[in-house]
Amino acid sequence: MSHVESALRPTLIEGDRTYHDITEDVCRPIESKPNKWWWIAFIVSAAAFLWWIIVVGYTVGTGLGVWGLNKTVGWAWDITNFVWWVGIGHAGTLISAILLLFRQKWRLSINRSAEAMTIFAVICAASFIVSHMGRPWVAYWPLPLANQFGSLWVNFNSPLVWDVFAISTYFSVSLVFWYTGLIPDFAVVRDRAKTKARKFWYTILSFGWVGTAKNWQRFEEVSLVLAGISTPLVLSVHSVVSMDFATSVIPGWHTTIFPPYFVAGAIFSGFAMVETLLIITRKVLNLENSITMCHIDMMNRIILLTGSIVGVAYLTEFFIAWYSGVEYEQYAFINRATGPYWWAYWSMMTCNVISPQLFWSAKLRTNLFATFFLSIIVNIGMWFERFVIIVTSLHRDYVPSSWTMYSPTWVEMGIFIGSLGLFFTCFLLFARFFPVIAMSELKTIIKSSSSQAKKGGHHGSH
Amino acid sequence: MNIWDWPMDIGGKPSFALFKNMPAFIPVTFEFTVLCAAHGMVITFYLRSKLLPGVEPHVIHHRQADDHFVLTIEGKEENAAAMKSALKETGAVEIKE
Amino acid sequence: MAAKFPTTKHISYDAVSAYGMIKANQLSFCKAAIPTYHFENADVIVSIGADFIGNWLSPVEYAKQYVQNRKLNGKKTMSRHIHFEANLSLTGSNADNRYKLKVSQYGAALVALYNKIAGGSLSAPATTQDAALTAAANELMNARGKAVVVCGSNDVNDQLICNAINNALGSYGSTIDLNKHSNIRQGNDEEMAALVAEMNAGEVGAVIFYNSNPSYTYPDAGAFDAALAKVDLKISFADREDETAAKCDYILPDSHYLESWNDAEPVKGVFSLQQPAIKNLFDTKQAQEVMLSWIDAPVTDYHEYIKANWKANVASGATEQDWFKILQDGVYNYAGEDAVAMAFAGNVNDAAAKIAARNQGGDEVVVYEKTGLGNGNQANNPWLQELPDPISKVCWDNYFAVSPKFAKDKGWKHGDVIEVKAGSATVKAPVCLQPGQADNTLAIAMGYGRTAAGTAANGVGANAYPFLSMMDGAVVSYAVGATVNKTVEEYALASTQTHHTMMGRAIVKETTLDEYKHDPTAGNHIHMLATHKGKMKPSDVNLWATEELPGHEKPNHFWGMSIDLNSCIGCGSCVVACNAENNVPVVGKDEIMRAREMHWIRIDRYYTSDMDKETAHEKGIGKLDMYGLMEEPAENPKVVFQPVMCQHCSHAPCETVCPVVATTHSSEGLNMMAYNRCVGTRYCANNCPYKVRRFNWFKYSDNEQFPFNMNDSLGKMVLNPDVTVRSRGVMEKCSMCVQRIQYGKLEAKKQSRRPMDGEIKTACQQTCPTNAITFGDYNDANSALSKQSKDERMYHLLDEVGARPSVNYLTKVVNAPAEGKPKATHH
Repeated sequence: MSHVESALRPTLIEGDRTYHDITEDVCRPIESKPNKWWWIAFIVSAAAFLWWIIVVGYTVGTGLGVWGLNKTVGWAWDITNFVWWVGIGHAGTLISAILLLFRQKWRLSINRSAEAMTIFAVICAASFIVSHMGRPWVAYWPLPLANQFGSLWVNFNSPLVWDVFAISTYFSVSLVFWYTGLIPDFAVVRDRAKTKARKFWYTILSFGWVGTAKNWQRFEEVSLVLAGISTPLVLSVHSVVSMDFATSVIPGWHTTIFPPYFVAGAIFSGFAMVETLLIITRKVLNLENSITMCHIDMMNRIILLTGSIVGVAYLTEFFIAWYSGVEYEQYAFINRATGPYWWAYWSMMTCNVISPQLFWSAKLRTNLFATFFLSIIVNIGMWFERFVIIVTSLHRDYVPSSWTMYSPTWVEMGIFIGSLGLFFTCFLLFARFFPVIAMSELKTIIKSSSSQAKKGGHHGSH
Repeated sequence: MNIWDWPMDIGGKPSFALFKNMPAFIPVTFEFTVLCAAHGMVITFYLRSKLLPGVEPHVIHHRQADDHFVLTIEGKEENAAAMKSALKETGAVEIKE
Repeated sequence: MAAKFPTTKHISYDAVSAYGMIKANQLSFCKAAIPTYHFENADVIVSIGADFIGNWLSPVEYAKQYVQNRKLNGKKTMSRHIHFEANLSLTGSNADNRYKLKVSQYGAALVALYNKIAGGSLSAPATTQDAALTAAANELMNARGKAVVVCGSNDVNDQLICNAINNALGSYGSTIDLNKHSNIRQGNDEEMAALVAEMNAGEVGAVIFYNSNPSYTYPDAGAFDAALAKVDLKISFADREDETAAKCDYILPDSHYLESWNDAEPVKGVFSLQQPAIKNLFDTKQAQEVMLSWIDAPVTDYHEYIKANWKANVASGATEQDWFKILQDGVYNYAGEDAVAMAFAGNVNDAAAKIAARNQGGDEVVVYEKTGLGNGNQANNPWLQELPDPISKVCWDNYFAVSPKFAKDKGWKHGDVIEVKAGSATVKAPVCLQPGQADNTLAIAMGYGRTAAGTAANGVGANAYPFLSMMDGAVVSYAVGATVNKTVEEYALASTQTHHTMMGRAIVKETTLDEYKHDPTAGNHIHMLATHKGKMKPSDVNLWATEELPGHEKPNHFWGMSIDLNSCIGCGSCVVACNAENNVPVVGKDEIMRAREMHWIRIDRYYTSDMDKETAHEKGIGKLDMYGLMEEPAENPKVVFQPVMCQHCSHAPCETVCPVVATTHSSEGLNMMAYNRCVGTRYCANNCPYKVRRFNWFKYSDNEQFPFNMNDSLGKMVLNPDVTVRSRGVMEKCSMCVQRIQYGKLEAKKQSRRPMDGEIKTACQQTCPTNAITFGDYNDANSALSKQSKDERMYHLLDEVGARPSVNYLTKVVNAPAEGKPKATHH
């Protein structure tokens, strides 16, 4: 019996890989010593992370006065970075959950790294929440914990409390989704482990997974349910984050377009960050067969789609500002484009509206250099988008006597760079010790029968 | 209960009747539902599959997680030979007793 | 003293002299004193450079009088106030019509007025405002007997002409009272100059300084110091080693006035007593007691001395019982002689000739007193240093205020350091662009540049006293013929307000008296919202019917505030009062530059712009250009002031967004702030449309970075024990002095009654000299607040946002004719 292979579709895994090849490819980085590129990247990231500890410590010890915030602009780099990181984290869950529901098998090469990226991005985001508080030593007060004040609970009217629920749900659900998927892969590493230490650690990490049919059946069910639950979750989390702004009264913030606009923007920047990471990872870890140009192409299409949605959202904002006749709203946009922060606004527009449109060209979609460059541009643009939304709306709102300017101090910039250090340190450790591709799931999409049919052999069919 | 213990006027909102204050609870309810559903599912999964850190894995074959499927058959001694040949015919790579 | 030491002379010296006035009154009416004024009796006030509600002579008193004819409580008449000045002053900003006039032309302006009003024909140089002066003269003549002309110049000739004008107008006896003269300025510049000469000649054996600091304030301080060095014995009673005391042989620190017995006669026939409120904090002795001991007086206890003096000379025949009554009242009015009609005998020809011969032209320097800091003897008070100047909003510095046009011609920008030479003075200070200032004029405030006042004042700003000089026997505070050089330095000025126009928004609603008489709601256009039920007022649009639902009633009190923009003169007393009452930290210049001042109440000062929505519409200017042009103040702008504090909104945007319920609404209508619950996310401040919330960016107490009043036990004695000192990372804002509200309610409760209207006063309300702030209970239909809130002029700031503030404002009504098109400020 021969299997029909669609002539139009390229294989998702190239190079005629077998199951064992995949195992080897993915386990090799874990089992061998890291090369010098990993060490260089790790030292730089760890240094940045150490700097983060120092500047955050300085802020917590001395006071938020060491930042550039003031009585008019109460949020700037801190919340820009928070939203930026949370946005980036959305790609992972979207890849694991939504692409699963849409039966997009190509997701399997990238979902593990993307989910790891989500976890680390949300950790970075949470760090900004804690460090931006005036009294971070009582940062647990926005959590709904029973207490002895007659139980004084939190203010459920506040979008920040919705954030607490949304982000902690998002973080914990992503973590268990990611980890549950990792268990069979840890089992692979455990079974191949030659050293005692590796065997010990991966035995603990793999929770005793054996891979019986029943285990797999339950595994598939959990994945499906988690995917089903995570889908509304990923759509809701950034909607809730956007409501930090949308439910306020400030012109430029108070608009209903924000939830879909922010979700689209999150997916936009998240996919861009996935591409930035994976273009490097696939080269360094020799995983080009599993993370192929097809994957890059698909991700670029999503970037094009979500970037266009973001562009349409910008147009909607202008239209509503004009149509509403509200002078405060109109001024907010005039100020963005022509006021003192015009340079941030035009950076945002160039990076976010123009660059994704370049992906209409198939040539650019499948060009690695272009993709890498544009993925960084997109993330820069998305950073400026949050900066423009937060700072330009705050610095000139209703009462002109309070209008003032904002500029960051070295401490705020250091915290941002430090968070990049935190993120990359975590990601590099992940790449070193954890299987970066979901190999067990990936094996399910090797078209081994059809590739063997091409070769003409019969063995190995099942 | 919060509004009973601490009756507060927050922004003039009607906080003293749940159905009037309900819009504030929508995001939290949704997220909490997702949280409970997801973690409930995952915990059930681990418990039912008896997967916990430190559980000793019952590995049958070292390549079971790599690139081979393992079939364990429990049967009578007299059927062993017939079973072996049947399995060999259908393409078994390795047979162990 | 004269008996024991026959050659002793008592020389009165004022840092800010009014000797020109005293001399002019001597020449005019044979009375060497300054009069008391009664602005409340004036229908027309013309001021030539007299900042009479800012810092001229007795500003608090004048403000109280002046505002009586500016308030529109039920009546529809107002005084007319026309002002001519060189630098934009507090009084000038409140005038109905204000004209720019160089200071060297003040005299000429007075002569022009005199000619018109008294029918004189004195020759005087033309001024740049001759048309306006003519119009002013006409108005004055129409208000004979109910008018007053005041002049801020200390030149004897200017004041003599001014007296002549007032005499012609019949002001004496109605708006000016020279019989009941004022004693607040008695300084004699001629005697002081003579003293310096005698000291220099070695003729003075000993000098004792009491409550004076000439090494700092004397115009030619160098000459003074040189002369002082030749005196054998120099004693100072200063409370610290100030500039003069540092050069003395002995410093005998006088007790603080709150630790001392004293008496005063500020106005003839009005006597006042001062008694200690606290025991001596330091090892000080009252100067009077020291001097009594020097003359071997039989009674050296000053308390006894005063009592004896009063019983004998002031309240003759008073018993001990009477004495206690007077002490409790604090004020004693003494009938004295009957009023004498004043006959004007001044030589106006002589004065006018001297005015005509005066130097004019070129660049001029004007030295003025800032409303808060004054003459500089309180320069070490950090509250006053941090109080933004009412006009420029700059704090912790003085500067040369120049008009933007003048600066542009010279190529200066805001912050450039210039060196100004005039006479023998050379002063370096930064440029501050000041709309409304006369061209070719540099205005600088005195009171800065101290070197021995204390840590808050030393080294702050530049000393402007050297620009003062003697002219015809009195010290005048301006100089002509200045040469200015731009240095290469630049200097950052700290300002609490960096945007100066209303951008076409109805923040301060304003109208003219004519329009108001026609329609009391003039200028108070309510922004109607389009709803499915038709157009509705924002206060009628409600998502929730919470006012009827249980839980949000205000059964006991519903506190609120009403601010009359006609009464607010912008002085800033409320800001300092609030700082004092509520332990508001002083943050220093660096933090102010980062826009982090902590004042709970601020006074917003807006200039008008030449561009507004109507003009843009007429000229077809698009929105982009319109907004850009709206940012520029007009060349001679109108100025409005608006005190803004927490509006205690019923639908507060801040309360909803606090994650930890640190800010909620009380059942008495206050927006409350629980400092110990705040985690400092600052969402509430971001969501406040009025931007009234203040965040504690650092620990301001017990922190060497902020060496003000919260670092040592002496400084901490300033703190109000009824109010928490907030920690780092916590949000704070106006509480409507909830500690006073609670105190008032409890005091009333102790007497088994409810608090009466007016019994509970917030600090800002209590201190406001013009009673612009009315605090009260909306639930009390008879309260002043309730009545004022029913006024047609009443509006809420940012009504259309829907926050339902409990603070309301009364539209400002200006008594100026509408210029061309009716002046509506909202569309």
